Amino acid sequence: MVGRSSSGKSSGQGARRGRNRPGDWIWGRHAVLETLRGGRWPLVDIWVADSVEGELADELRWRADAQGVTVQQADAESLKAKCHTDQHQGVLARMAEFPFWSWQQLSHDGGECPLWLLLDGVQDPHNLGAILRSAEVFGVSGVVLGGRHAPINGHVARSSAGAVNHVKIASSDNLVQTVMDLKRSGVAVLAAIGEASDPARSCRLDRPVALVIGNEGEGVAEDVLGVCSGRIGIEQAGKTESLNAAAAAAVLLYEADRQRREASEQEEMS
Amino acid sequence: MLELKNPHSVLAALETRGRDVLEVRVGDRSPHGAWQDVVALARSLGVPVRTGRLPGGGGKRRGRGHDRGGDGGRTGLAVATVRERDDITLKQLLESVGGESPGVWLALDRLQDPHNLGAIFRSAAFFGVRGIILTTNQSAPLSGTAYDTASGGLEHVPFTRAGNLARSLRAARDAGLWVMGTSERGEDDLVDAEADRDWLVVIGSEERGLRRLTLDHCDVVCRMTPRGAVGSLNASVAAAVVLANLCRGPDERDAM
Repeated sequence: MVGRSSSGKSSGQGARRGRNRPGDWIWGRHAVLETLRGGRWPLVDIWVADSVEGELADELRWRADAQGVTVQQADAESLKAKCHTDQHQGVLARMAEFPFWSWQQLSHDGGECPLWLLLDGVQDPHNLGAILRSAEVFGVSGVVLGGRHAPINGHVARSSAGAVNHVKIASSDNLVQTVMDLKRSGVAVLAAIGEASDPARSCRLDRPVALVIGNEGEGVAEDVLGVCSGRIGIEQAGKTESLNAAAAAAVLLYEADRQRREASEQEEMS
Repeated sequence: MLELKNPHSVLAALETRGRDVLEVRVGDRSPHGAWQDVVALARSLGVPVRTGRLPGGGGKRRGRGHDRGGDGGRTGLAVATVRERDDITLKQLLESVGGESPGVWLALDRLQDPHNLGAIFRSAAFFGVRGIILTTNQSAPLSGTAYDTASGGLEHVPFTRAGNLARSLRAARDAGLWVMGTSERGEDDLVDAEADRDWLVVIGSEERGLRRLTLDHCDVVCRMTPRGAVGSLNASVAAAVVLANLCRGPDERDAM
């Protein structure tokens, strides 16, 4: 794959003061409150419509206050002008850069039988959000974003249904190195790929495992694929060959979770 | 009429129903990647191919909102005008029920998001789904966005439209299908679902899930997430997980 390197930095990260792109904002009462409650992703400022009152507004204010975030009052129209949608429910927050974990921090948190998810250059914010949502549901130990991936912004936060606030997410400048680190610590690193792969059901996933999901168009980069311990596939029964990245990730995470549940049930029985 | 911007959805339309592709327009720069294949196939089928500036900034490398076909930067370089695909009747859709090998059908209960709709068609094509029942009221239409997100999947899976989903579910049961609802609060674990029968899987809307009346028509309601899971899966992702579980090859089914 020409021009692909695993050292690509993430492109166009987050919000910068003075610029206004739709992706810089998170909107909706629940989404903003969840982010404040999560207490990890810093907010630049919050805009609240005059119509927002009651317990929700109170909680917004005291949490914002505790985190040193200014809350400004505005009318619904000016909120719409900021985030380019009228779905804001009167609450809007401008997000600072997403605070990625470092892989060094994350790698110690996997527990005895970690399940890692490595995303190589996933560029579509909706796919990325849906993958993070699945990662939360299936309880992955952490997600590592490598290659030229979409920034974690308001679009991703929405598609993730708030999972960005709960799943541990690291960004890696060098996914090849991350894969080698994982292998050295006894983790089987399996690349999701259609050709010449073992079906997920015949792969043992109830052990320390990292699954690598590739870019929507090009799949897992050659250099990353070259250092993985194996390949994992999804059995195809129809005519078309490709599955969307978010669908593939969920199918594999489901299978890993199924095997892990089965293994722990058997352990309880014996 | 559809304006398709994902070369893979255009290719699939050309391959399966070339006469419905009315025109392909490419930007000032010469097409590359999958669009090259589109142009070649269109020319060989006698579909007009025009060159020139695309309206609405379509020549930009990543037109906003159009990069969802799963191919990032490859979309938005050209567009094709394509007729919508015809739906079929429920009776036709259910013709292969009770055939030699079991199959899976889908029903989508008021799905709202055209991206989810398209993504489900893409997964359905991958897993060999026999047909999809779509609701007509308060549901996302089969727009160009849905076709593009399906990345060709919409050309391979037949579909029918139901004004009254409950009635269609009854008809499907009468035809011999087992109806499976999916819900986070389902009583049965998806893992335990028998893969050796004809299933009709009902996927609920993004916000509200399955309607009460729809649930009443289900033989089983399965959950696919572990008990105690925080949050729920995206609707199209949930559909893919169910299909992966039910659409296994015959060999593997025997081994289970």
